[in-house]
Parts: sequence; C-alpha cells; structure tokens
Amino acid sequence: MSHFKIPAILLVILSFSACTAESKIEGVVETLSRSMIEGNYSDYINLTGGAILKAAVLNPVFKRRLIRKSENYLIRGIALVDVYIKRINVNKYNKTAYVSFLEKYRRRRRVWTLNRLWNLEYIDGSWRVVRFIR
Amino acid sequence: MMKFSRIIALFILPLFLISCFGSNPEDSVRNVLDAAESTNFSKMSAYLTGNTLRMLLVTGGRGIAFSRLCGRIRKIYAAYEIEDIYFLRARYYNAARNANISFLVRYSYKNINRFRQMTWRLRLIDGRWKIVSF
Repeated sequence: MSHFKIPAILLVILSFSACTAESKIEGVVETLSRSMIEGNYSDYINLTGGAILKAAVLNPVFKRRLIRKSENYLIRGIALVDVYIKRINVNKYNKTAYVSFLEKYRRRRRVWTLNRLWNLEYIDGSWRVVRFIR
Repeated sequence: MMKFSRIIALFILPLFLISCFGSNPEDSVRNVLDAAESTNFSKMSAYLTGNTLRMLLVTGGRGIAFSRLCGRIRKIYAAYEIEDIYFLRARYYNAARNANISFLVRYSYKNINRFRQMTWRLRLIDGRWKIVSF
C-alpha cells in the first residue's frame, strides 16, 4: 500500500495544480496570441469577450482581415516563437485578471519581442480576454 | 485491476469535486431563456428572485400577462427562434455573490440573423444564481 501512496498523492496534486486560474490564463494567452498570428478565427472568438467579440460576431469583414493579416505574416516569414508570461494578477473576488507577457517573434535571423498587457474576465466557465491594454 | 480502478478513481474524484463547487450565472441565464421559450412556469420560478419573481407569481404561469413576461425576459417575441448566445462581459461584485452578465442573443426571423444585447443582474442565493433584474 505504501508504494502506491506517493504516486497517488502526486497525481492528486498535479490534477489540482492544472486547474488553478494562473495555469488556465497561461493557456488562454498562449492560444490567443497564436490564433492572432495564424488567423484562427474560431479560437479568437472562443477566447475573447466584450466589445471585441461583438465586433467580430457582427462584422464579417473582421474575419477576412484576420485571415489576410495572418497570410501577410506568412508571406513575410514572420513567426511567433514563444510566449513568456511575466506577471499574472488574479482578483478572485471580482474574477478578473491582468496578465503581462512577452511575445517573441522571428524573421530569418532577426528576433524581437513585444510587451503585452491584457485584461481577462471569467466568462461562461473559462477565462476570456476583454481588453487589449497594450 | 484493483490498482487500475484506484488510479481512475483518483482522476475522477477531483473532477467531481470541481463540478460540485457551484453553478455559473451563465447557466442560469441559459435556463431562464429556455424556460421563457417553452413558457415553463416552474423552471422559470426556480431561477428568479425579487421583483421579477413577484411578477411571475402574479401572472401564475397563465394568460397573456405570463406570455408578455416571457417576451419581456427574452425581449423577443415567441415567433422568433434563439440560435445562439454569446456572453460578452461578466462583472462580479460583493465577493463574487452579485454579477452583471452582458450577453448577445442571435436569433433568426424570416431567415435573417438578428442580434439583441442584454444585461441581467444576478445574485447567488442558496447555491444558485438567480435573476434580480433584467
């Protein structure tokens, strides 16, 4: 029995740690920043809220623009390498969060980073971006 | 086989606990919209409180007044069909016990998609999110 206890406890801890707000927000930020550069419209709709979502839903031009932008990135050879989370501030009483992170881009040998700050809200069982502050 | 069942139980138990923590206000919004669409008195009364509940009880689930109330909840007449609901914002107050939910209802009328934006105020009462005002 004792040989079974340690992995069992580890499993429980791992399963709980995967459900924390910070880990979920990290996943949302990475997926959304990738969908913006790859032109994945469904991911963009799922992970955004507020006026952005409304604009995207109401305006069919928005989808075409998103796809065209991603095609331009592809033609110019710009690729998103990775997303580095700097800071996550979660307000558990208001269920809002601010996430500050770096986006690392690459074109041939040139590498550069962009500093981002997004505001998230807990809407319909998942964290969604409601405001692109920076 | 015994070990295998234990591992499965350890995975399922945290998921079960997470699902038992509470309902979302968005689920209540969906339930009320469903109840209004099918004019289900008992289902609707379970998700209302305050003046909205009083209005429902006065109508008694019968007559033109009740159908008007259903129409007022949806702000769409019964002839229209709700296609989809997009949640825009979820603003929580008072340690996540009160919430203002903004959402967009997509409905079809004469094969044309139309949108209607609504904001409802909900309160967590007895472990369930109930609509205070709409």
